[in-house]
Amino acid sequence: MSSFGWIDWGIVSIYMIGTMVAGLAMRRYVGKVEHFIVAGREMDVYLGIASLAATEFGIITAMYTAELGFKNGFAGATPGILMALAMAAVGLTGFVITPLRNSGALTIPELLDRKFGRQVRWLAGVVIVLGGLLNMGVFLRIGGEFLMIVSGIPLRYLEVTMTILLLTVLVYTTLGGMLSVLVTDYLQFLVMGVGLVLVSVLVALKVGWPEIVVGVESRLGPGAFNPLVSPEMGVTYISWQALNQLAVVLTWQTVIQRVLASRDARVARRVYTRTSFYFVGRFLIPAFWGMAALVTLDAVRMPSNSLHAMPVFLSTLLPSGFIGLVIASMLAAEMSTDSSYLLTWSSILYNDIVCPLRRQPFSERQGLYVNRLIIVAIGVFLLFYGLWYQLPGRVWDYLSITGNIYLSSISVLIIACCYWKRANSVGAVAAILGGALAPIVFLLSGLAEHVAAAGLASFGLATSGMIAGSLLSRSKTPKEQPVAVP
Amino acid sequence: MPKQPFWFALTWISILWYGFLVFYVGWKGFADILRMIRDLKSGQQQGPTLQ
Repeated sequence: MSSFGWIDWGIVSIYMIGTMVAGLAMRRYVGKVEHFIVAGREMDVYLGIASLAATEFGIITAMYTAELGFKNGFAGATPGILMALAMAAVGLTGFVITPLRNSGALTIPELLDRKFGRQVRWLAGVVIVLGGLLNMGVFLRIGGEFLMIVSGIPLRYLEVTMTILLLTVLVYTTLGGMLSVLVTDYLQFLVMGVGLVLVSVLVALKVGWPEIVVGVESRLGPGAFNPLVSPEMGVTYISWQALNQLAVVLTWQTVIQRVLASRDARVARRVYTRTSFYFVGRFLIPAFWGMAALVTLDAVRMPSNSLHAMPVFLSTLLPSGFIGLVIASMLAAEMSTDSSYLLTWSSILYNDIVCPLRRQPFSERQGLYVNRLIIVAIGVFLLFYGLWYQLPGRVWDYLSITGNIYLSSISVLIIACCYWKRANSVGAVAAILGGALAPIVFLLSGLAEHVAAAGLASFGLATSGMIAGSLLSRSKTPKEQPVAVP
Repeated sequence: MPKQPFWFALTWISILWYGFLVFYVGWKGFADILRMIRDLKSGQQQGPTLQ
């Protein structure tokens, strides 16, 4: 039984009002599309760290990583460790992100246009938006389930609650664009960070480290500590995740938007290196909560859906006042993620799908108007898609495979664009189609047990498509040399 | 020595790192926001053409 009381409502209300005021205050500085999409390239290192950290941690993140901990123990944190390593390596070397930021492009497809032409830019925009929107489609419902369970509000209010939340995010994102997103991300990072640390300490004190380790070992066996022997992971899964995490760091649009909004490439690299270790905790901390739920909940309280174990556990563990803080921190996590995702996919739709179709460029005023309209349209899509889609397996696998629709191909394209002289538009188109094929077949067939194979096939097809297409054709590309070499 | 010392260390370092980031990035990030607003106000931002 949740002890969500008036103190908790007060904490949540103060947080919501503060976020709204801060978000709306930035509206006055939006004068042109560049302000709206990349904050006028005024982002510095620490604001970048706060924004990246807040964006990449939503309620959905807490839910799927807790589920990974619940089902796979500490081994469930493996994707986070791989992502931290990938991000540190890219930040230290400047691989891809330095030429990308130096190019002055607003989006990845805009950079691809310079090497492969407008058709590839358009096609890349389509797969990025397709993968991104399918990925984001499940955020609202799963976030709502967490909030309802922990607060004790009946599940029938889920749709109304999440609609209000989405409308709140839409208001400040639509008006202030990336400038509002950065400032609200900063506030949300602080609230979220305090909540995550306090809850983790409370879980450790109330449940105890030895009890969690012994309980996890007895239920999950040695695979709980070693991903190589985990029955749901193994070498194939880890290989796919390693490639996936590298591709995320190089091409995931919400991450890359921070690179593009940075003052210069040096700032972007420092944001990467200094945020990298954060991604270990992004997986490990909620996984720790999921493991505590596994060893604490008895048969009566254990929910049938493994995704709900962590919120059920928290609702019984946390006292009044604490629950308000957790709800506020998770609202912060959800809102920062939703606002960034809305903005990032709308920027691709505007910059790389709508604009290339026009003979006359939009004026600044028109451009801002179209961007805002697209964000509202995405919000409407999310409300409807999120209500009816049924996940075929683990949430993390769904997110990974929908992201794979473009992660595999666009990472291959951008590496080739920056570093391979022979790459051409035929290879680029082959890579995009090949990379999207396996994930789409997986999603349509619902073969949840073959997710790692589908993910690896996606990378294999994208890479072979680029190499074979480029070597076997003599396509005239706009610029037959690497776009930018650091 | 706690059970599973590798995971024990990684879990607690992650929690402590989050706590550190809240204070350090919180302090420095606020200064970044003030600088960004000042630059936006003075209209000194530079960027590429839109399309």
